[in-house]
Amino acid sequence: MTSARKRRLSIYLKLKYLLVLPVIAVLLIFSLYPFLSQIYLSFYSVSIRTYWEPTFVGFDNYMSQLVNPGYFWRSLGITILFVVIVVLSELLLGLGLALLIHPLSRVTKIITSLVVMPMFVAPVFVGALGRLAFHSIVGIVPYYFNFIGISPPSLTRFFDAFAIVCALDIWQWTPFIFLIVHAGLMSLPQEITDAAKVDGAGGWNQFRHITLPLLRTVLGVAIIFRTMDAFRTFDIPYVLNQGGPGSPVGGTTTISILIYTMMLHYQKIGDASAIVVVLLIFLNLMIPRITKYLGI
Amino acid sequence: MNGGKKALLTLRYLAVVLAMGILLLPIYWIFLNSIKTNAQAASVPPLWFFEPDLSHYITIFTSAKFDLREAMFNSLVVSVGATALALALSFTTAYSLSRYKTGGRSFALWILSFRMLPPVVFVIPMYILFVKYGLVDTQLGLILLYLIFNIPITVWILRSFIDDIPKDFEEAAIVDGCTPTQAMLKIVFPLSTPGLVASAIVCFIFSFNEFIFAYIFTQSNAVTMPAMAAIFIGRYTYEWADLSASIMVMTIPMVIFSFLVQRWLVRGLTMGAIKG
Repeated sequence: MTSARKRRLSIYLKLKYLLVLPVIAVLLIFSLYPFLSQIYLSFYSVSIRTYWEPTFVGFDNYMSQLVNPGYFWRSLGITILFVVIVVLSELLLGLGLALLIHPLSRVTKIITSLVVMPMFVAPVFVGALGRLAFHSIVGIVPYYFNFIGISPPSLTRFFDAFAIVCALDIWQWTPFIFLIVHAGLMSLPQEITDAAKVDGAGGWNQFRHITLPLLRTVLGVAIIFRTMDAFRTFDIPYVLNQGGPGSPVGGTTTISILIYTMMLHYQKIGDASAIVVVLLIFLNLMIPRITKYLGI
Repeated sequence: MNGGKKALLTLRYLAVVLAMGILLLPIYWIFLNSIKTNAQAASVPPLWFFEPDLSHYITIFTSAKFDLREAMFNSLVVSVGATALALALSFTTAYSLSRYKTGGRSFALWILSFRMLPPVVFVIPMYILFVKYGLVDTQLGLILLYLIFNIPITVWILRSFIDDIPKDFEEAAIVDGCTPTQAMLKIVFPLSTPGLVASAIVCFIFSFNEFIFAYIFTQSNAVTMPAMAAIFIGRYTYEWADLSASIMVMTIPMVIFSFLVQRWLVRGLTMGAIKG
């Protein structure tokens, strides 16, 4: 190797690390500092007012969040149930819708543009929409429920509130799965489905043995993105009814809402930090497992 | 076409119309509420036919109660700023990840994990830091916070686009006497325009709709539209027509925007994982 080439190679190697420096610097500020300071705070009793003179309490915050009364687990349970319900429903509905629309090639484009609209309504507004629509006195949904003679869902009941948040999330994000599956269907090689038809594979068989396996990657990516975002849900339940009914853990208290409530409503920064620490450990274990399926 | 097939097609159209009805009716209902009077918007039974009243679209921009003009301005400044800053910071990283596989899979995942964490985990420490440096309730403060989710988005989308650019171009340029940095900036950067556009779109959408940081980190000077909406909901519980009008005002530009950028949406929203 000539020395000129060696020098060029060493520039390459340095360049490679130099190029990632700005992002590393920014992300380190956003990770090391918040996480270390919250590990510290999780052992103290502290509010906004007493931030500079916290009282050491050892593992008390962890005990109250994890053991008795164990708010963390209740909220995690609600969050996971929420994720499972909405992601499964959105997957089935989005896939179904994409399969319905796919053969209507003349109108697919215009339908797609219309169907994706809910995705672009800010989640805050979806929460607001829910609050107006499900209002017990003047809401449109209770009115029509009463009209047909079914007792209407109410935001003041634990399971109803949970179901309403699920419904709003499903309404907003089914189009996301639809959009991705639709793109996947469009990219399928026409010859394969044609060949299957020639071989006599009818609707269900063709779907089960040809379309579905070809869509596997696409569906995997869609599920991962929805799971990730559903787990972080905050905007819709917060605007809908502040994570209630009931406190500190109500029917719509996702993990994000619980942390927010502890932090700003109860002014228990130490408790909020303890939840953050446990959550980070949990996510640290989960994220590499989940992203394995992203195909990286 | 035989009768059975025709019936099936009709059924298919019916199902599509039904699905579209469910997806679009809530938006149509909000639109109707926005052109009712406040009393009509809260009437029981719900009104479907009435004389339209467009005054709310003026009220929300002019009355002292609703300061939507400033919120709109803040939203635009913050979203554009956050998008531009994220793009400026991320391009070289995306390039390094694509060409040199810097840090391998775990480094790429570390960057991605910022997009997966609930934003609320950053709130307490960042708030304390922001108080110290006077960044609370400033547009710059929000722009910096939005880097948390905008950097992973841009790095991942750009990386996927740069992966698609053949390496031959840079190698040829280096043979012709370019330095690696020049090859990156003069050859790859212009060729990654579609990637820059796709990531800008996605960053813009997420920044424009972002709620929790905007709600906690602003009080009066830098309040964005979503934060403002939450304040409206708490304060003016029964001015539903005004509230609906502000929802429409914020949603319509986003919907039009989504029409314009549709061909980049799938790839952008899946951060490059699906090349739709």
